[in-house]
Amino acid sequence: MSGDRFERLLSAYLDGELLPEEMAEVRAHLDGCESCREELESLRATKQLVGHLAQPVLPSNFAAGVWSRIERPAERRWFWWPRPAVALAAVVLAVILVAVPLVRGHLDRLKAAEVGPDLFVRSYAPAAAEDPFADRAFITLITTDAGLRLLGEDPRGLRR
Amino acid sequence: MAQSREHGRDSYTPDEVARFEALVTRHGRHVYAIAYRMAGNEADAKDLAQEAFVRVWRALRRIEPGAALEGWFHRIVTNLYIDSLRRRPKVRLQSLDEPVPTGTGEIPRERADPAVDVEQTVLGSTMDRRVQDALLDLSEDLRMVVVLADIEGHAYEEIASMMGVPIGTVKSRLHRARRALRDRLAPIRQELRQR
Repeated sequence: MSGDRFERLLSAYLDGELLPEEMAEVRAHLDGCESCREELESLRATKQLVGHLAQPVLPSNFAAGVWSRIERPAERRWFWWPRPAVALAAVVLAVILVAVPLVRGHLDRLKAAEVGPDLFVRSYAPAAAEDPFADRAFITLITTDAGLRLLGEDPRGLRR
Repeated sequence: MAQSREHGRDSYTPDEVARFEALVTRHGRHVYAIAYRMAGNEADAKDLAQEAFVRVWRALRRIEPGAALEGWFHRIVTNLYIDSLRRRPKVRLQSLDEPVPTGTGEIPRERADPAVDVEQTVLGSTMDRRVQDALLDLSEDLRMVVVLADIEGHAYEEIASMMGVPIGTVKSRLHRARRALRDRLAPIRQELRQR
């Protein structure tokens, strides 16, 4: 083991947190390495300094403060929603925003289709049956800015 | 509001309220001590520790009686502390053991020598303050390990499970933390040797 590797083990050695064989290796190394012994001592002194920090005194109104936090009326409560709730709300909103125009557009298209060809066929078919050779009907699609429109000669005109 | 009704004092039985009060009495000092060492001042420590108990209150029914809560408290305090740092963006946090990036590479950070106020040093509170300041110079990950190991006296395995990191990480963080503290506290050790 290199000196560097030993150096890294010194903290854990100090805490007795090495495997037994590692403890023995470090101990053997320390016998012959003055710089590692010094390092170990400085770490030990540091650990003691930190360990001797005074226990801070709990403020006397600590428990009362906990209760007042618990009872405190909610501030900016929406902000404190649990994250899953926020995520769910966002997903629902996104679905609504996408679904509403889709469904509405689809309904509009259905409606438009209902009026157009259906009306045409219903009124044209009986006339064509009556006089198959006078079939002057035509059907055309006109595209304008406002949408699609079906045009055709009104089959009822045949009766004229 | 819904949440305050749900978690108000009335929402628990008197037995549960008594159980919670016992938890505050039993763990309050300990939780406050960790929070104090993490935050470095009374006001923030109180905030952190009290908020930790509010979290416990909200989860009271999910906590089994007799469960080991210490690790849980440590984790709550650490997370709250890190959250509180995120909510205070004006304070820019930099670990003093991190090098300073420059255009041409990294240079070690320069900092005030704690030995300058040697003459003012007296045992007790000043010493305490200087050790605490040295702790605050560490990044919160390193500080937490030192607090748990050297102040709270936990074993590496316990710390690893409290912080949710492998034991090897605890080992290396503690070593890095102690080396940084050792350098920072060298003047104090010197003074103590001379007494």
